[in-house]
Amino acid sequence: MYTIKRGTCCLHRYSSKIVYLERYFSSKRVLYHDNALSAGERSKYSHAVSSTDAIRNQLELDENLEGFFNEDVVKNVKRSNAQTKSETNTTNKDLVSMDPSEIPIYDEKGNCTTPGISTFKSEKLSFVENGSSPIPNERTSEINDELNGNQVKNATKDNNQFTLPESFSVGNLKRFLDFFHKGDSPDPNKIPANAKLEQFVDSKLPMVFISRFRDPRINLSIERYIYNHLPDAKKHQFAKRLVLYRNAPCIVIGKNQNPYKEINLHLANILQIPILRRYSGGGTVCHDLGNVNFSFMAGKSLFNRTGFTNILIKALNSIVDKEYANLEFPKFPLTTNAKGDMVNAINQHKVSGSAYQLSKGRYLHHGTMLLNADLHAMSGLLHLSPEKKACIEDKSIKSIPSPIQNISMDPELFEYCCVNSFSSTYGVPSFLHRSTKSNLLDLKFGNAECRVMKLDNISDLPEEVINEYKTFKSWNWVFGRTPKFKLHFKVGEDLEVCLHVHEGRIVEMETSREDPSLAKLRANLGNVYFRGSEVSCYVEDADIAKGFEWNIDQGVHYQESLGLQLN
Amino acid sequence: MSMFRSSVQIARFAATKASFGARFAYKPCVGLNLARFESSLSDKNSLNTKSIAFTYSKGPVTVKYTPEHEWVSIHPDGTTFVGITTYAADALGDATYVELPSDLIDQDVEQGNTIGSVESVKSASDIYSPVDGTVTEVNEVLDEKPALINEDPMGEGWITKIKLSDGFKDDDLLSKEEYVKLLEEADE
Repeated sequence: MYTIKRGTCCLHRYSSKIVYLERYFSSKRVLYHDNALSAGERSKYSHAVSSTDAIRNQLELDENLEGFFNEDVVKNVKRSNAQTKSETNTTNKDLVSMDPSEIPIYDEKGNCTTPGISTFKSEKLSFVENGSSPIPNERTSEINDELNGNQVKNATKDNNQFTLPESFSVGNLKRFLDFFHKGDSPDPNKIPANAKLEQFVDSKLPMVFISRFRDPRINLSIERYIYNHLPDAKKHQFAKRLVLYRNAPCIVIGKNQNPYKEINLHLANILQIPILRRYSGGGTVCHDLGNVNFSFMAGKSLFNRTGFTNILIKALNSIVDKEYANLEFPKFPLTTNAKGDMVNAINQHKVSGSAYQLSKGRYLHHGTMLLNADLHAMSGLLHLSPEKKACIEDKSIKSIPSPIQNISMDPELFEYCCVNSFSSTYGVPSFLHRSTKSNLLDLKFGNAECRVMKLDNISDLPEEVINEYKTFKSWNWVFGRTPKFKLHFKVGEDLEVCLHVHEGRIVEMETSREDPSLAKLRANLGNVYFRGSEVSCYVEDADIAKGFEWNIDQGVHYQESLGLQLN
Repeated sequence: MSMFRSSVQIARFAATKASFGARFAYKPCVGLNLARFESSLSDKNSLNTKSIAFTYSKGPVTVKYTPEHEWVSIHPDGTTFVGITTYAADALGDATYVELPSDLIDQDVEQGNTIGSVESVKSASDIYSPVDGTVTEVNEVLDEKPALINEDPMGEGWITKIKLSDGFKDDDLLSKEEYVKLLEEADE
């Protein structure tokens, strides 16, 4: 909506004015609270038209917010508070409430000639300044075309079923995508000036963190670090988090699950698919790049299994079958089922899985969203023969397979919808310091504002994330942490074996008959790790050793194939 | 600034009240029967006096609570039984797995350390040690029958035994009255 390219501007001069008017009024909404207020209501709020007053109102809501406004403005608020005058039309030179005469006038080259607007323009329209978009991405040019021409066409259609709801905010989508891809093509003259994760992890305001890493272990480590550092919700009620990430193909099991019973280790070994154990409950899921993970964090007193899901569903259902800039939009409405999962409202197929973690004063809800995932590969990795499953006797959490479906939506559009729903619901009405860091973006939806941080440089991550990473990479956590279980199997014709496994080690062995080749293993019970290759070293008969190895883990190469660190 | 302060309190009060409505909202029955719920809060969150958590010694037995919805019964010899309250068990729903601190047996733990978790309906909820001491035993029955956490959370569903360390004072812990008050406030 903000894209007014030089040269093309004269053609669209009129339309850009309309666009500007729209933006002008949407910016006014911040002050009036709602554009749709009636005249009477508006006069009720008219005392709050100056931004100083708006900030004063917010400071009254929570004085902890003080640190987040421009110091000058806060000073002004305090000064005007000190004056006990009843009139409230204090004006601030920088953030003075606008009047319609300030609607910008563009010259032939598209430069704004209205005094007082230029700063506003350079701030909001930074990507226009270069004349070309910083994104060498096809999709952005499509969006630019759309913004420049087609949009106007669309808007003039009567009864247009493709019109996006106002809450969708196309302008913010553009800013988001720009921000998301900023720096994708390195510039030799510009070293990105990034903020560090640790500087913002304990922010008292709502924050969205978007990881551009694809390593599932890095992403889960980042998520855990952010969760552990969530400020106390009792003191900082605005401190909520949304973490978004996409993982390269991997398998993630629930905290109390048995990977030997959930995963086709043979296939995972061949395809070199990493296996991770997460800290939240629930069942096993496969991830790939066609799946977006979202993680919502808030104070424990707000714990609600479908709280965030419902907000998201509302946003997604409002854009079903819409069209915009060749982006893929959802094709069917969603709803939640009895278990709190997001499902296709028409055929009840699951499109998203959820898991939760509750800790002192905080909770985490993370969900997967199937957009364009390879469902066939997924089902293969989680497919075990019933005979194999029957070999394992345990009390761990069992995954419940459900029919699944992709929502065939553009991943970045989905991420934007997550940011949009989070910010609109939990954002703070404020005037944040505009950040100059290249990995920070402040987005405003209606009168709610929220900061988005992009994580795309490993050196911006603190040591603690790396420590978490080591846990996710360790065999002891992923396999060793399996709740105790028994494995039954048969070697050769008559040797029946039952191994008792606890904390990653074989602690007991029952056999149908005494076999001399098992003496060494029996002598070492309690010390031998439950790993095929290791156990087979303690078995002194080659065939029996092979039988043990295959039945334990199908001879998986934990280090070479799954990338795990052994003890 | 005094003008600020009063309005801050009002705003906070309103926000808290609204937010607690959503507490454990997935279980629609929890919030609805408020009158019955509140009158029985105290009875429901009392220790089962027929269970080992109470009958372990001749007494006197002190029962304390934490804001994390745990209870601890303290016996004269310094042995304590730790579990989660009925309120917590109801809110979490059917337990499907209890992660016991079996790897911590004979090890020292401090108040606030994570000593395990209860999983129910895809949620892993951490359990913290309410006291300083040494883990001496875990309730292995829960391995086989996690549902015991829902059936008798404040009795046979105890999770672990912790021997208090010398000089531990239970001043930080809540009495039953204080705990019930906290629940009432939360459900207002």
